[in-house]
Amino acid sequence: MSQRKRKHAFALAFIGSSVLFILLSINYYKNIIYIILFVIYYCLYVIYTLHLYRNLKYKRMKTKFLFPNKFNRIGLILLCLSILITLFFGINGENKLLTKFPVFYVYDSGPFLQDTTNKSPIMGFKYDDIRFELSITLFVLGCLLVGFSKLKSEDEFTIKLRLESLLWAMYINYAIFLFAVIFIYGMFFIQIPLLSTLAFLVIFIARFYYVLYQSKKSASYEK
Amino acid sequence: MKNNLKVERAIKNITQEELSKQIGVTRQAINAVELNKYVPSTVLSLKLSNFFGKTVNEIFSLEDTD
Repeated sequence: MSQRKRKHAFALAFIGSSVLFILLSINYYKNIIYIILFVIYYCLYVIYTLHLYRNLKYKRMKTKFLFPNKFNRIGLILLCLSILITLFFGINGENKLLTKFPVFYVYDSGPFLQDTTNKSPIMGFKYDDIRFELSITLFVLGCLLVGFSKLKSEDEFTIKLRLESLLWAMYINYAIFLFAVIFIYGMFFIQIPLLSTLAFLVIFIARFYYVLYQSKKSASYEK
Repeated sequence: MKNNLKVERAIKNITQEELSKQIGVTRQAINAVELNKYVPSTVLSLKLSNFFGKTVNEIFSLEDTD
């Protein structure tokens, strides 16, 4: 039964994202890639949450979708790397290696969403600044590894904490997002969706490890 | 839901740490159950009942609010 449900979820995810892809490519929509990534991201999120719920019944959580424990440290290293890259190379300024790096693009809208060149905006190579890509990729991968790798002792209680933290992070993140939509104006608002996507992971990790720490502390008082 | 896990544990004279190792869950889980912060799954409660040699009803009981 649950197998079938998961298949349904996968099928829905696939059909939904492909329909969106076709619709948007017909309209030549500018931020198509971001929207597709967003849809895929949320589909995976929903599938993952369903999977966690399904596994609540096992004595030890049999998680196919949680990374092994040692990935936690790798995630931490990636996070540190991402922060170091942002600190050392900064957002502005020239750097021979990182600002002129050959990249492959699926869609390149050009600056200010205007096509000034005759070059096709879909699929091609060009030289570009990869500092942003590098730091964001490392940050997201690091956060995912830290947040979704197994603890040293994983069981139904920690799974409950994890699920609750996911829900909690979702609420907090969207509360902040709505606040930003209503009260923040001007160019800074362009940054908000990106920050919100990253903040979700950060809030989740912070809340999960805080609750875990509290339960550990509470357990160490009792004898 | 109420439980007398703490009493049972005292009768057997076993710490939370040992109990959690025997059952195969984290220590926090046992602690949270004792503090009524966490309702254990059926599997965990059956394991506890097996360990203490009592039925689940003897260890866990419903409250009026449930």
